[in-house]
Amino acid sequence: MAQSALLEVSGIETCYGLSQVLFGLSLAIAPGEMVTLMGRNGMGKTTTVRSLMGLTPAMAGSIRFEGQELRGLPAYRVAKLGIGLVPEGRQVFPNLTARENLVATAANRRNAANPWTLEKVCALFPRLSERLLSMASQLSGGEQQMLAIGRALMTNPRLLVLDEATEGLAPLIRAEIWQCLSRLKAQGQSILVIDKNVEALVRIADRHYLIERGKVVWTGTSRELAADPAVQHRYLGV
Amino acid sequence: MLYFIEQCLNGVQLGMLLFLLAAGLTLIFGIMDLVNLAHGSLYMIGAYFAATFAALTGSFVVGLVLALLATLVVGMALEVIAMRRLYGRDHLDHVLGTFGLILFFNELVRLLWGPAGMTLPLTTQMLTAVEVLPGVYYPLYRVVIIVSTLVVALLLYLLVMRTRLGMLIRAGASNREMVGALGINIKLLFTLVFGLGAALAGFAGMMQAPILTVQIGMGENILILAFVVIIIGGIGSIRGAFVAAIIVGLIDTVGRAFLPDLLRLFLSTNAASSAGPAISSMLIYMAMAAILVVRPEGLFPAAGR
Amino acid sequence: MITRLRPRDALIAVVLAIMAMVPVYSSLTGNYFLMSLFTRISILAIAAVSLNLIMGFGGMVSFGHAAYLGIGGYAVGILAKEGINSGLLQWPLALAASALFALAVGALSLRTRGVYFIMITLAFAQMIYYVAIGLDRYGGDDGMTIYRRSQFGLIDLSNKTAFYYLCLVLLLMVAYLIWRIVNSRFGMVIQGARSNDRRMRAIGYPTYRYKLVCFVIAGTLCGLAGVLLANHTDFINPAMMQWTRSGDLIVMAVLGGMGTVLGPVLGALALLLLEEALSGLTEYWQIIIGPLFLLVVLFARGGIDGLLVGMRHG
Repeated sequence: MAQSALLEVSGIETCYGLSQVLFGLSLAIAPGEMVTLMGRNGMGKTTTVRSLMGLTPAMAGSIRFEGQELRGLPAYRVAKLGIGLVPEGRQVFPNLTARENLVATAANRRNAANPWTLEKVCALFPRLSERLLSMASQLSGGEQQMLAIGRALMTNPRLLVLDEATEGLAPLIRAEIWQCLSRLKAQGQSILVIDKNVEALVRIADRHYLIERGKVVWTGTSRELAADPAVQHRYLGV
Repeated sequence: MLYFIEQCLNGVQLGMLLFLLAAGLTLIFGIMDLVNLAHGSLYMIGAYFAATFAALTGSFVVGLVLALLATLVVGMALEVIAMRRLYGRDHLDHVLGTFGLILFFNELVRLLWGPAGMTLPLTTQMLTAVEVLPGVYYPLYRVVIIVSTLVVALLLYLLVMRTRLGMLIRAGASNREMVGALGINIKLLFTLVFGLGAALAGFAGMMQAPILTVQIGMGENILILAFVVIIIGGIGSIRGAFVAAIIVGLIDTVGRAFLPDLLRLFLSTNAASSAGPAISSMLIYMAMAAILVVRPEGLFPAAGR
Repeated sequence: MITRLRPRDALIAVVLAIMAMVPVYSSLTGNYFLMSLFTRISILAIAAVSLNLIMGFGGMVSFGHAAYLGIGGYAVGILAKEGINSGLLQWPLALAASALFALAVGALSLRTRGVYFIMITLAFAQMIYYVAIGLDRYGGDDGMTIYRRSQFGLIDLSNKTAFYYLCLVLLLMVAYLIWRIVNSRFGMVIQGARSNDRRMRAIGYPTYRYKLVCFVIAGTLCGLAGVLLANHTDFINPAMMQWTRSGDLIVMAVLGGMGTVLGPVLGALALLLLEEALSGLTEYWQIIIGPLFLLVVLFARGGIDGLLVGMRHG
């Protein structure tokens, strides 16, 4: 990478139970970039996220974030260093209200000048502001997804990681979420998106990594990916 | 009639002590998924510390404060040394491991304080009866127990429902992995929650020390009652624990007081005298059995798990 | 079937052989304390083996199994006090009482699982413990002496050697019964329900009923141990069914290895011998044994059996 990378993953190998899932995966994200990791189900996308966060530790390789080695750190240390996770399945806390979900883990560890606040998150997701006092379990799928994104933003992360953030949502809600991600990118937020929705992501993201069987098999810019339907079909088609 | 009201108050008092124990157990089970049989040992240790420090300093209140701090320290040390190695394991492992700890603590207390137990004397002022209701007199200290435990219950409610720590505790009960992934040091959170549970148990032990007992094995008897409370109230529910604790306290106390007389109406005096105590002790278990038949998940089962 | 002799089986065979020889040793050396100790070991082994049926094979962790020791024992004691000394009346009644209590407790407890189940079984055992304390006529908290052991025409239970061999034979019979159960289709269903209850039900087995039957069998067999215990000590008291005794039984099962029928015999042997040895060292031996349980849980969860398997591979 020409400029100093925000995140640099080199050759990580990870097992899930007894079977190996990642076989030397590498990717990099520069500050301000939106980068995607795409591939079919079962190829290792979520395992990559879990290895990054330290939830399913990698056995080999290196994960450097702003120069600091993440491999081997417990999840809370990874998060504290500035990575905000929006996990697969949203995983909002069902027994807390929406407002509590946002506030419970909120933090501003780097004393950012313009930190995320409850008001700013509500401005980003107007729908949430009406539902702040409802229990998170009563929110719709789309609202829970927005809540999960807001919850991660409230930790003021340097890198936002979204795992299957549009899965199971209606097309209208999906479009809203892509729009909001564009807005975040425009504000300078670095984002890693794991998803399968090529058409939408080619329009808003900068670069893409395609993963197959635990390894990156193709990487390029949005323009390159859009211009190569064969590659799209080969690694992402049904 | 006066006797009945007095027994009801005693029942509420017992219920509040049970609540403190059950709340601690529920918190620890809810967050760390840990079955802690040694919880009763912390109750016992609290009582012994209180008796010791009160005797040393000559002041009940100072003794109480010191004992609370000491129990908190012991609780957190126990968590760091032993408990955290049990997280994530089979519940059978928890049962066995904490069973071993009970034996250890009972014997340790016997080694340090002797087998005879202790007493915590009260000032005569504390023992005087005050008029709580028109014509109803009740010892001041017992009023203090009820009031102070209610205050602690209220503080616990505020902590869990209104503070950030409380939000993290509740969030951790439903998804502790995610709480960690969002930047919270869950190891530290666990130690704090365990310490809180220990403090609640110790406080209950301390408060009952002057009027009930300070002896080896006291923890296990009340622990099993606390289990009954949790089963009736619903595992994971502090609100359920509160309601169930009052119910259990009342049934046990009022039942023991009046059942023998009630039996005498139907049976011969001899039969009533021998059956009375035996059946009285069964009452709360029969209540538990009834709940299991009608509503096995408890009165207020916790949501979101 | 087992074609090779595994270390664990060899050890059990050796232990049983030794146990069969104990009375001979005792009569030669005059050390009858040893025989009394081993009688106790045999009896508690029966209790532990019966617990393992539901715990090891059925996955039902009962923390109230000692209740059946008490019920069996108290049945004998109460009948003896009321003048009924015939074993032919006492023993069946004791077993019936144990079975009934197990049926009642099991019917209620098996509606729950996991932690709930553990707590509920503990609570019901505690209930019967308090009932026993309340029975003033039969000794209350202090307990009661039994002046005449169960009378059978043919065998004299007050003959310590005869009684010893009776206990040993009953242990083997109980173990054989459990072995047959575990290897039957009934046993397969129980074990299947332990690993995946929902799947068993989906296939069509009413697992609740199966588990209840298993629970009753285990309780009844433990009641038999209680009958023997009362005869052995000539004494009954509520402490027979104290919750700590239930904990001891669990420890024996885990220590001996829950995967085998006779494993708990090793556990009973180990625990009781350890207790004897430690209490000879210090009055405060529970300070040592308590943390020992914790260490076993943390490092030797497979029990003695697990250690032996490790030896074979290591």
